[in-house]
Amino acid sequence: MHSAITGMHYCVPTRRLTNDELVERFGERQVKSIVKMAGVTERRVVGPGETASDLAYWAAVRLLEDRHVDPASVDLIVFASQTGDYQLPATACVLHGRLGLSERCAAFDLNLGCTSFPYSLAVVHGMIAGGMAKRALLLNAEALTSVIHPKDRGLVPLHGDGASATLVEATAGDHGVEGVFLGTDGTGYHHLIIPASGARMPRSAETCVEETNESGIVRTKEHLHMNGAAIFHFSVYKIPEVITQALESFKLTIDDLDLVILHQANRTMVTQIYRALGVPAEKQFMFMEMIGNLSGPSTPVVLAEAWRQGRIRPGSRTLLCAFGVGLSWGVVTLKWPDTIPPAVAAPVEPGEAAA
Amino acid sequence: MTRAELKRIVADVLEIDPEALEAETALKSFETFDSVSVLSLMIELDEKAGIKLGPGDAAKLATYGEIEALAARQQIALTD
Repeated sequence: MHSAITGMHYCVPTRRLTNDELVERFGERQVKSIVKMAGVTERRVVGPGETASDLAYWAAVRLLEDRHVDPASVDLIVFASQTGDYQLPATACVLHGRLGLSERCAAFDLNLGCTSFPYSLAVVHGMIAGGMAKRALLLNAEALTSVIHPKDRGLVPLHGDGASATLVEATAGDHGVEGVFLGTDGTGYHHLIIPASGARMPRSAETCVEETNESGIVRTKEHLHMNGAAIFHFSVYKIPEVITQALESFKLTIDDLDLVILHQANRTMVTQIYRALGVPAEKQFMFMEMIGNLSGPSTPVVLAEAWRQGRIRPGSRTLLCAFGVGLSWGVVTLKWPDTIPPAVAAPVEPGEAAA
Repeated sequence: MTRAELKRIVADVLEIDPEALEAETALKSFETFDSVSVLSLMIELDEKAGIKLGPGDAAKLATYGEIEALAARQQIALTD
């Protein structure tokens, strides 16, 4: 049994964080420097009391409504995130209740960051292919700004919050999730980390003390730390190799792809990877300028936006690659059917009140 | 590659006059030298000079002379 994506939608917070506000916080030169490198001019950030799962809820509600899917028919919900509502229970269980899903529906979380989409899609695909589910709701959500110190002049300008909802269903056709290529380099786990976020370093009076590093970045041990040079180097040198290996294992070349979607970490990084692989301009797609780097939801939000902009053509093939925290990477190819339903046209901001 | 060409690559990234770069010049003395410009140096040095600036070297990079030393370690000859 194959599995295929039959609908996608996404949600970003209403609140905007503009470069003008960042200039006031960090100074003009710092913001100009990062904007030039990252290509982000605005981000959407959660407000007080708003969480990643709230964004996922709205994306899911609108997706199910648009596709006329009875919530009772969903037999698997997966919430992939590193900013869930609680350490326990799984946020998937909370959303299962909010969305009114059936008691016959399995619900669990996957703890992954930047690569959450290819990994979680692989898990959902595997469960459908193995006959354990027929209609899955895959939610990739992150409110990374809630774990970034507001005075961190390196990370604040790069990141925004968001969530995607993807409907993955069993199909008898030969389209859908085609190739999956996943990998990890756990020796680099410390390059993107919140040091005091679990059992290894319990939170205490010491872990919430502000520190300033040699680059002038302010944070506490309870906030996200990034070794920018290591992550950048990993992305622009390792990821082209990974995609080349993936294509070899799939017995495909760039010529066989119609669209190549990369994790939107920053514009320079993405451009470098496209260039290293020789991906022509007509097969590229960028969507980060007005939302920033969303971490895990980045690739599915970009895919959903490409669908909205008519870039997913019937019978075409899309390659997705996500990479980052872990260090980890994932490549997936999707073969689209000869008839593609229209993209979900619903709003991409939360509704009036969270249910 | 000449030293002048290498200085031009570094100067373009830092948006400074190449004449300002001497071996002992502290890169931190330029306000344009920051964590972002180091990433640009990684790309530009590799693409234009074949010099690989890894994350370990990038973290310790303090003077212009260290870039020339890095080139020497990678057997990239610099002429006057």
